[in-house]
Amino acid sequence: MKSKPRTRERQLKHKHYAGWLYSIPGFIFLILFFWYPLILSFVVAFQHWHPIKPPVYVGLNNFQLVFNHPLTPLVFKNTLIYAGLRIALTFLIPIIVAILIMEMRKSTIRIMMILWFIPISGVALTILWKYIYNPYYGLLNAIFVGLGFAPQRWLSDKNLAMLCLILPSLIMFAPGLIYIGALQTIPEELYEAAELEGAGFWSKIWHITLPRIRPVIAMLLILAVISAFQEFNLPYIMTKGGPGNATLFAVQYLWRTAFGYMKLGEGTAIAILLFFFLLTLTIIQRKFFRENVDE
Amino acid sequence: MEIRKKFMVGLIISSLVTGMLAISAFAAEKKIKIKVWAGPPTAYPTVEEMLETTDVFKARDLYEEVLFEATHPGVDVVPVTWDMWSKEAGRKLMSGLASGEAPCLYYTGHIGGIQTCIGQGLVADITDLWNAWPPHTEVPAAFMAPAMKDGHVYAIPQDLGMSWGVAYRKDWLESAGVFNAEGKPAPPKNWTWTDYAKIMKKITNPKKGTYGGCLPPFLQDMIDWEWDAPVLRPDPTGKYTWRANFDSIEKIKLFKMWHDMIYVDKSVMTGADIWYGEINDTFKTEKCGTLILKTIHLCAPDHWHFGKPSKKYPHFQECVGITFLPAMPDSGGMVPNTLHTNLFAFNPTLSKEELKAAFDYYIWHWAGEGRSIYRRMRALLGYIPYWRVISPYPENRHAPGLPPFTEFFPPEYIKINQEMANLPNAPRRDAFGLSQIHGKEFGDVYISTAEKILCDPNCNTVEKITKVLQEGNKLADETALNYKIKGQTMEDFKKYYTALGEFYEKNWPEYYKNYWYPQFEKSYKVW
Repeated sequence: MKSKPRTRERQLKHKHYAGWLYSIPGFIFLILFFWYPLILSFVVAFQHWHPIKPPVYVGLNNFQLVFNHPLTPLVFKNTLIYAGLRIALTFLIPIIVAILIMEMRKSTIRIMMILWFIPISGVALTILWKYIYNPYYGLLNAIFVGLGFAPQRWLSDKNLAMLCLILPSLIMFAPGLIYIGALQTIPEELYEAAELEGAGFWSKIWHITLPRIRPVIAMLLILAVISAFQEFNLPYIMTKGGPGNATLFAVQYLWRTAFGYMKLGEGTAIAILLFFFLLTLTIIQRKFFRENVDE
Repeated sequence: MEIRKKFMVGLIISSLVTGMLAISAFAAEKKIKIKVWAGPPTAYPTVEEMLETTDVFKARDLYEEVLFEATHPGVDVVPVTWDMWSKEAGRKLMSGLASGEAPCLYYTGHIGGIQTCIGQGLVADITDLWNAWPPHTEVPAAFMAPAMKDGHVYAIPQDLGMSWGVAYRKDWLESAGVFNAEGKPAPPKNWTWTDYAKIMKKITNPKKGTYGGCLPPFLQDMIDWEWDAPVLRPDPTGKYTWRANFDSIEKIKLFKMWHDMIYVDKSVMTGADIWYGEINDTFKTEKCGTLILKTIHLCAPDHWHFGKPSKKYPHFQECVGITFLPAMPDSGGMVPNTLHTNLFAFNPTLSKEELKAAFDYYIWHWAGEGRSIYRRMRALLGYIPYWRVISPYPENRHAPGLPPFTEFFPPEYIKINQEMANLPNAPRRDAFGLSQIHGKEFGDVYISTAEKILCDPNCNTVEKITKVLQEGNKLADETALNYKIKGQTMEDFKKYYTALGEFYEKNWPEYYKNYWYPQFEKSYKVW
């Protein structure tokens, strides 16, 4: 009889150890491939790093070089405009579309969801868009000319290139499906009760739909902001930062600096600046965007 | 007692065996191990898998490796699969160098180029090895100039040589009534950009949606880079080595001509989204009738199958002609020697013995028995000969024992290639200790400047073009040219520009008079 509590104690203890034991592989993975590179990049940002020679501590020199570089303000301006436009178009529009889709019949919803989410490789789609935009034999200009508009230079026009990069994101970054999933979890009774109270379409959206999917919106917003600020593939494949650096964004700029020009310290300094910028944005976002639906 | 005895006997025997193994390991000849580049990482991971694929060229690699080891006892060749060309190649090479996994030889184009790497200590000095290899004197100077600094050699050429030229569709020219002095459908000999513009206009067909040519902004940098184009000028203050010279007399003129062809004549295509692959595609898919390209690509079999060749010219070689790049007007037909190759440098972490073994291997591989094996194998399998009319290595220009090149290529191709290879070589900056260190960064500034002009229909006057070029100068000065080469003096510039002036005066007197000398007076003469 006396041994029983001891066995339970031991079981609990084992459970405790087992939890730690199961976490070890993931923990090692995290340390090796996440925390170690992160800490190392903070160290490298203060060094003149060399692949085969010992690194030299240079203090804030790399940051100074980045701040004094004539392209830095342009690159961060481009990144901000791109991220702003992309979030506005690819994050807000799907919310509206998802809400409208939910008003349709269930069978139509299914068809719309399939249409919205066609699994295509991001790189393949980007290359496809590049051909669609071609000013000489691209599909878009053929449609434009067919409709009686003047042909455009799309990716080669410094005023349009940014917008041209955002358009494929509308298809590739597809939060609409997640919104629909979240919208389906809202109990019908809430809407019925609201209708009994005399609430209209917009009122239901404002007072029921949006607050109920707020946690999903908050989470997706953080992901959207981070991915927009870290955009690399689209400009790399389509414009390589052109025309005239009009689509040169922060990540491509740091990649060029670190690996193209062999200035790893400066490149890492750009990465650190971007990291703190995104961290600040995320903190602000979490402070002002409460996730609890009942608050 | 019995157990203890057994234990003792076992212990003695195992000690003896271990000792003998250790002695034999020490006694064995210590081999020099070299990690050689064996294709991209997608190559077959095991010999069995490779043999299953019946990829004879991979089998050839294996044979080569074994043969080299047999003829060079003491060297252990370890093939390593390595990504040498992708956009990630630079990042991987840096990681490989830091971790000691990089091969003994690599391409430096993705990490800033040879001159940047020399400055960073990322390439080995191979001057003694190069000079001790007798045929080095037969390697054209144009190939080696970018690999040298202050008389030292830092890289060897890959087994391929190329030059910039223009490919043209003979059937298109014929239909448009463009014939040379001999009555053949070809551009005139010693053609200029003015001739080029006229021909582009003639062969453009707006109804069909086809264009004369394709002149994307990146081409400006690509071509200029191969011959030390006058895009740099010395810093008169002496604070830095170089200042950007994008607004040189000929650049302003050329940009204006290109701009007019794009927006006034509407006879050539351009765009920030057109790069090497796309420019080739425009020609292959018959969207344009001419193509500025590296000659090596034209003489590659994959170019023989394109579009729909005409009835009169059913084969690629009959249908497509090649010629020199156009010259600037009033330049006396000055065509720069744009002969170049891919330069490969050696890993500086190698010991002296390893470096010697690696150098021997690659010279053997690209210019010796290794290449002969490759050629023989191609011939046996019925492939076209390993055709290298302008190879850096003399061994590969003649291909002894194989069918003559003329069996596979029209004489015209061979003639043009040989003429390109024999163009006079202008003195190069690097040979005077005046290297342009941050070549890639400078190139990016140059391309972005060219994009601002060529992608903007409103940048259509000499004044506007000059203004953009001067803005480009400013950006390049503050970024890529923000350095001074250690120990560099005005005397170095005097020697370089004197030699350059003498070269142009002798070989291209009209260019010297109309372009070079005015520029010399304006910005080169700083001493």
